[in-house]
Amino acid sequence: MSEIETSIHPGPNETESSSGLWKRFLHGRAPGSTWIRIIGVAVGAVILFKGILIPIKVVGFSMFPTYKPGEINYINRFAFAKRDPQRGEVVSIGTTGRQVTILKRVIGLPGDIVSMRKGVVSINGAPITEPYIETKNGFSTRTPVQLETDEYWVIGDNRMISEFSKIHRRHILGKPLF
Amino acid sequence: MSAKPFLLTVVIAATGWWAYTILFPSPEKQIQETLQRLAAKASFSPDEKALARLGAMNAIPSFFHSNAVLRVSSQAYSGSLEGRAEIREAIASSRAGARSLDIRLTDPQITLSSATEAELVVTATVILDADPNPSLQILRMKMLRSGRRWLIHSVEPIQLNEL
Repeated sequence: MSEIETSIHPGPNETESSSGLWKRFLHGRAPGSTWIRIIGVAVGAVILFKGILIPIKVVGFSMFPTYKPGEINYINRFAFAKRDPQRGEVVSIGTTGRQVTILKRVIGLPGDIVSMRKGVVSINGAPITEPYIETKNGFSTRTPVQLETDEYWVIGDNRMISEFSKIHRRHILGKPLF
Repeated sequence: MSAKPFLLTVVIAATGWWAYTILFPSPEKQIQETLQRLAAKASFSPDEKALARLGAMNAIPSFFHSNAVLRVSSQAYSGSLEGRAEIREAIASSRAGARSLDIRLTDPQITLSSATEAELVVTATVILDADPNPSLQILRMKMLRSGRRWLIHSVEPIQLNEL
């Protein structure tokens, strides 16, 4: 009994007890299970943030005002596991890897004919309403773009600077969480 | 086998493997390191010293093959460059017209065609004069091995759909 009390309330000269407290502070009363928990949390974090929710930091004004530079977000890798991206959804597009990804809004769906004149997009000849953009000035397509199966037409919300492009479904990594 | 000799064996094996990879890096690792060194040399800040600038300008062409063909389309330069002399000239003119340049070459996907030839695609992020909107380009490269070094033989920008 007295030994237990000594280890809980060590005196200033009781170095062994201090070391015991320090060890307990580091890995608790049961070091084995503490390490298993630590490893479990680490493995879980790696799986979560490498395979399911990929953390990103927004750079540039391409998606302004929807996303501003410096914002932190997460890409949900399973957002399109059971369905295809819809018109108006923001998607994350992979490049040659995952270190740099691009955020763009899906405008054209497979089979659509897309054209843009000074930032105003038309799908199959009819202009579409886009409440998420602030300025309609911007680039124009030379000729209408016909999208093949599995092709999407994407562009950023800031039409003054964002370039449009045609991408394959396989390049879409996921969807921002927020 | 008790725990200590086993742990010691694991540590020695890991150290040996680490030393081996340092002494004899794989071609992929050599290429990645070459790209990182090139990006570091090509980047510069406004407060770059004259000596460092001169050193970088002389060093960058040495990353390229003597017959290198470089097709570039960026805010800084658009066009085609052939040979080290043209590359050096373009570097000098782009450095004269810019205050700073930050180039990052990330996520290289390397395919070794043979022991002396590699093809790769890489994402290039270019920030000119601290522009908050970086320019992003996917580059297709061909690299040739010359002795212990990998030299860039060709560079061309490609669209995402071409991947």
